[in-house]
Amino acid sequence: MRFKDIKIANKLVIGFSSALFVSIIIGFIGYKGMHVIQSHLVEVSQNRLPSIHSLLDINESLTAIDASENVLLITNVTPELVSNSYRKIDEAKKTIEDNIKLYEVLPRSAEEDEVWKKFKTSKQTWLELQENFMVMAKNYNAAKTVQKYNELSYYALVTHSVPFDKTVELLGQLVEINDKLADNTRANAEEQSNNAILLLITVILLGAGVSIILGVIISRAIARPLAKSIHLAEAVSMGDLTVKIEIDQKDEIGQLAKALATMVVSLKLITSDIKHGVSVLGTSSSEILTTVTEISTGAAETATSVSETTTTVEEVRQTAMVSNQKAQSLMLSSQKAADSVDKGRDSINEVIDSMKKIDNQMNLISETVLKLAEQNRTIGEITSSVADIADQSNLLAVNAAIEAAKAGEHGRGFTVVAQEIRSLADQSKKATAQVKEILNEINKSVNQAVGVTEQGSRTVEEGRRLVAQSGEVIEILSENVEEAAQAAIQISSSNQQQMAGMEQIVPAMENIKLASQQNVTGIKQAQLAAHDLNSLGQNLKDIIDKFKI
Amino acid sequence: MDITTTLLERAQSIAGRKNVENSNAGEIISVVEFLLMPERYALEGNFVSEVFFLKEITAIPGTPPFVMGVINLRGKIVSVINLKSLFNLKDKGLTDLNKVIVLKNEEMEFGIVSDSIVGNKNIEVNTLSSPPMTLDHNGAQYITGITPDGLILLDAAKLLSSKQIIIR
Repeated sequence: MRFKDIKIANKLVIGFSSALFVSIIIGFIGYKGMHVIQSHLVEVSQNRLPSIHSLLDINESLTAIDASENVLLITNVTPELVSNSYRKIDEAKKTIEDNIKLYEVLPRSAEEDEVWKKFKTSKQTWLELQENFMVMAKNYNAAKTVQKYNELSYYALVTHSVPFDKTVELLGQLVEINDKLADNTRANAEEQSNNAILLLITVILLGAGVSIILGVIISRAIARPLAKSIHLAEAVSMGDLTVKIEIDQKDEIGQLAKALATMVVSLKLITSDIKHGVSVLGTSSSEILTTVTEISTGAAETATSVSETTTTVEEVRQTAMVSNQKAQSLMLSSQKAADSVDKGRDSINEVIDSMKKIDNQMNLISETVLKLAEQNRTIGEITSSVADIADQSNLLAVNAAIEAAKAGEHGRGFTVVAQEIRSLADQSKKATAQVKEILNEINKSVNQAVGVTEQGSRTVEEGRRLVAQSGEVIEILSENVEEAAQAAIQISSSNQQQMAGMEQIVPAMENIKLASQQNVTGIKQAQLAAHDLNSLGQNLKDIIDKFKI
Repeated sequence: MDITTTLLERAQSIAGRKNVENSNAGEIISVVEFLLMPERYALEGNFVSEVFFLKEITAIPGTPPFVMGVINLRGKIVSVINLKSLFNLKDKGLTDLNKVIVLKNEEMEFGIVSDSIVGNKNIEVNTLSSPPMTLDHNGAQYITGITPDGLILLDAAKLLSSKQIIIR
């Protein structure tokens, strides 16, 4: 498992644990050093210093005793000074005894103890001598004689000074030993403290190094991918969704990166959906705008229409009243119509009889016309023969004229006759031509008559059929008129209801009019809203276009 | 109108016309006028023996196209010719060609077909004008003259003696 795959919390725990461990080591080392130094300090303060202090006090008291003895040696000393010196000597002796007791309980080295025993012996010797001195001094003060002074001063300066000096010397040795011991202890303490400081520095440096390395590792494991993530987030915030993140870690940062990548993918999907949606929204909103505008126009038209309708309804109401009256009169009319239908039925029966007669006569006419056509044709044949004869007569006349011309003067009368015959033939020919024309005309007329007769026959037949139909129609009409009468009654009652309805429709139309006006206002607002929506869709489109997918 | 009155008027009119003809000096010839659609022709009456309807005709093989055939005229065999064909005239209008005019002199006798026989007529010879020079058809040599009213007078004697017509 790589270090960067460890969770950040664990990383931090590892880092801080290392620092703590180093701190503990440092503390332990410091504590240990302090402890050693403290023990040495205790040695110095509780042993050596009181020892030296007591010894020095003893020394001081010895010196004070010496000084006071010297005062007693002064010849013209005042009694106050003498008594003062006695007192001082007694106090000094007491101080010496006290300090000896103090020193006695303190621990000592072997050498020291030996010197101490010598000191005590020497001191004891000196003290006995000193007591003697004191007796001699008191004697002297009681009777001041030169001899006594000489004895006293000799005692003081020679006899008594030997043990005193030895005692002071031994005391000096003791102080020296104690000094040396204290010095040793100090040196010891200094050395150990130096060692401790060195160790501490080493450990601190080591700890600092470990901490720095761990810190760098941890910060790199956190900061670098975080910087990448920040870069991604910034790019996404600028709308660039094409960025990619590559972090190969399994800690929270890695999860964050994964989550960010997933987020970007989701954002892409969402953005593309939104883009699609926005474009749909844009189109839809503009369609809505168009539609709403149309609706608005329509609503305005509706309002106009409604107000027109209101007018119309009023008119319809009037009309309904009129139609009610009409329905009443219709009822009466249908009654009359029923009577008329009965009459019509009788008339139709008469017409049917008449039509039958006409049909018979038409048949007669057609037969007659056919006969006429036949006779006409016969006349035509005869006329043709006459024309032929006229032609031949003409030729005969020519021949006669020719013959007459050949006969010369004798045939002149005959020429005239021939001429007459020829002109007669011509006339005959012309007459026959006229007859032919007339016959043709007659023929045409006869043909027309035949056609007309046939048509007449058909028309009569048609008429008979129509009349029969008319009969049926009149039957139906009769039923219809009956129904119409019923219907007229129903219409009349319906009209009454309609009138009542119309009375209700009029206020309703007023309400509709109001509503349609409100509708127009509402549509106007909707139009504004659709306009806003359209602008919004446009804005959305602009915004979403900033996103690069 | 009464027929008697009509005939009387006609006789008077013919008598009147004769007087007018007589007042004009010059030779008058009697002709027979006939139609060869659409032109009017005339032949001198002296050479016309008779006219009749053409009832039947017998075609003779190996004859020129203008010979229509022969007919039996009261036991006499007479050939019939078509002047239109002889003169190389084109057919115009609705033609019958069912009337025959028989020409005759001492040497020759044949019939010619016509559409219609108009009748006898008298023509003053000095009113005739010569045929126009522009006529170039075969019939030009047989025309004697043209009357002021456009009647073409054919030379019957020349036709009867024409070598064109005589079949050998």
